[in-house]
Amino acid sequence: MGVADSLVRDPNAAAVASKNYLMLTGFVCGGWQMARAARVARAKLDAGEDPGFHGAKLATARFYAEQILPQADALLKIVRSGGSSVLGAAGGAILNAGHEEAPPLRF
Amino acid sequence: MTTYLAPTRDMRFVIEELAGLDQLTGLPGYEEATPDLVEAILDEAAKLAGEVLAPLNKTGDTQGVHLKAGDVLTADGFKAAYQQFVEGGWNGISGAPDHGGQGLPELVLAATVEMWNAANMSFALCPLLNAGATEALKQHGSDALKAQYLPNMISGTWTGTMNLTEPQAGSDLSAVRAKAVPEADHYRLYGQKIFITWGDHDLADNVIHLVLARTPDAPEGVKGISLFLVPKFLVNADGSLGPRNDVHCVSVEHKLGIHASPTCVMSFGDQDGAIGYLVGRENKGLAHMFTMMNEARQKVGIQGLGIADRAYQQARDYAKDRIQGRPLDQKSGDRVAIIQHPDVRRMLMTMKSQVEAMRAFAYVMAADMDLAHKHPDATERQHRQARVDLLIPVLKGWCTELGVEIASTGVQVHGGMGYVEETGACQYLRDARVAPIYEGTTGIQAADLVGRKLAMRPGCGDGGT
Repeated sequence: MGVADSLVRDPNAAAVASKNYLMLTGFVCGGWQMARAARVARAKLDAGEDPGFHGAKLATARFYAEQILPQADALLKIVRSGGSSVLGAAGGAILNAGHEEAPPLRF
Repeated sequence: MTTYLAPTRDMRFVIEELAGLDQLTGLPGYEEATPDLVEAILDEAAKLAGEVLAPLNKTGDTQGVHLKAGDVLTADGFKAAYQQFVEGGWNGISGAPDHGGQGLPELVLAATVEMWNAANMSFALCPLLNAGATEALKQHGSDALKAQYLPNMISGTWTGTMNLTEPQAGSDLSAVRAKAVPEADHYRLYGQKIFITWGDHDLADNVIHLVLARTPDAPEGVKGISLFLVPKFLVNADGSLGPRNDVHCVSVEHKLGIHASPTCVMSFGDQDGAIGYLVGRENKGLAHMFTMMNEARQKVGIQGLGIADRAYQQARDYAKDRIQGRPLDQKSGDRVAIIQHPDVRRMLMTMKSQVEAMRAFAYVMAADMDLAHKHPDATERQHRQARVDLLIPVLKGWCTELGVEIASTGVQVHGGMGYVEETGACQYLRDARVAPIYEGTTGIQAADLVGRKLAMRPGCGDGGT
């Protein structure tokens, strides 16, 4: 079962994961377009067209792949960890700590 | 604050090579959108953005807006700049030609929206909201309403707003309470709306509010919300402006950023009720408003991109000039510009590469919007629309979150000088900060992506594997 399907099955866990899932999707979509840009730039370079400009495009795509895109791996790991550390008693314990005099929050 | 140079070469690379301008030029109505014309448009837009809008960015930030005797007054220079914007036809570049628009692709509009926002985000919000209101009216308004209001909104002589939020109804619009009481051929509206961007101002002759409200017998919740058009000045049958309507700005907010963009508390019906006209069908207001919201969310995503590029341009200029320290592997000799230092270079490249990734993503989506409207094949139109629907929350959420992060990195590149207002880097961060909030917070976008869009995929949900 894929990440998307498991998110759809459990709405509370999905709500915990959804922002990270959105950012993950963004970085992947960014990588998708940078890869397309790199392919175009490579072809233009091979054809000898505006090497300064297209060389920079290729270098930018490489930088993105090495220095930016790996954030998606970390986000995927977070998304896969599910929502149990936020939901239920575990999450309540975090937010109640230090406020013992107040009525405890229950999730 | 430094100048803004629109990166037209980069924009054309994305437009032509990644978003596929050539597939749009073949579509009915887009025949004129050739690479040469697009280049000419981008060059003109770049001039307006760089020479007129960008120099007003700091003035607007410093002066803000003022509410005086019920009217909102904008910062010095904004009115003249807006006049130039209208005269250039920039409001209507993708507007319907039968109402005076130029009918150019969303793809071209996207590039201009990036420029306006990079140059002056506060200013750019006025046409941004106008575009959303225009789209909602175009899709859902009666022919009579469209004939009376659309041409002036497309030209920008009048500007549109969206009035959704009330003090108790923010992300949860089911709590909307504003009332609309039927009377003859119109309605009378009563209630208060907050956070109304460009809700009142002195740039245009009239302000056209699109307002969510409930009719007296409407059901509870979102199923009882209708959409109304409420003009600041009533419009006579001959198109001339009539008396002042009973809708007023009662205060403007003091905000972290976008100081030159009035954020208004609007009061409807303090005297005898604000006259309004139903847009679309009763109780379908939220669905109609979503037309406008999708449009606005796409453009707010582009705001994140625009402000990030502006922050990058300024940080790069500063890093090239600022002399500090020697290269790590040299103990003596000349001190160097900080752009020579690996960590500064990494920061700048992080900014630049993400600007390019966002731009490619945003423009490709704009081309998908064009294909979804105009492709001759129905299956292809549906396929493109499905991709747009799925990815609009990603564009809005991801690009605006990155906008903040990149503007913050821009401050960091400047070091201590970045934290000083005079340098101008902080303004981008303050301005950028609103984008992940308005038009649906990142949390709302994420819920839309995961809770609605993924759940709607064929074969997903109800136990499918």
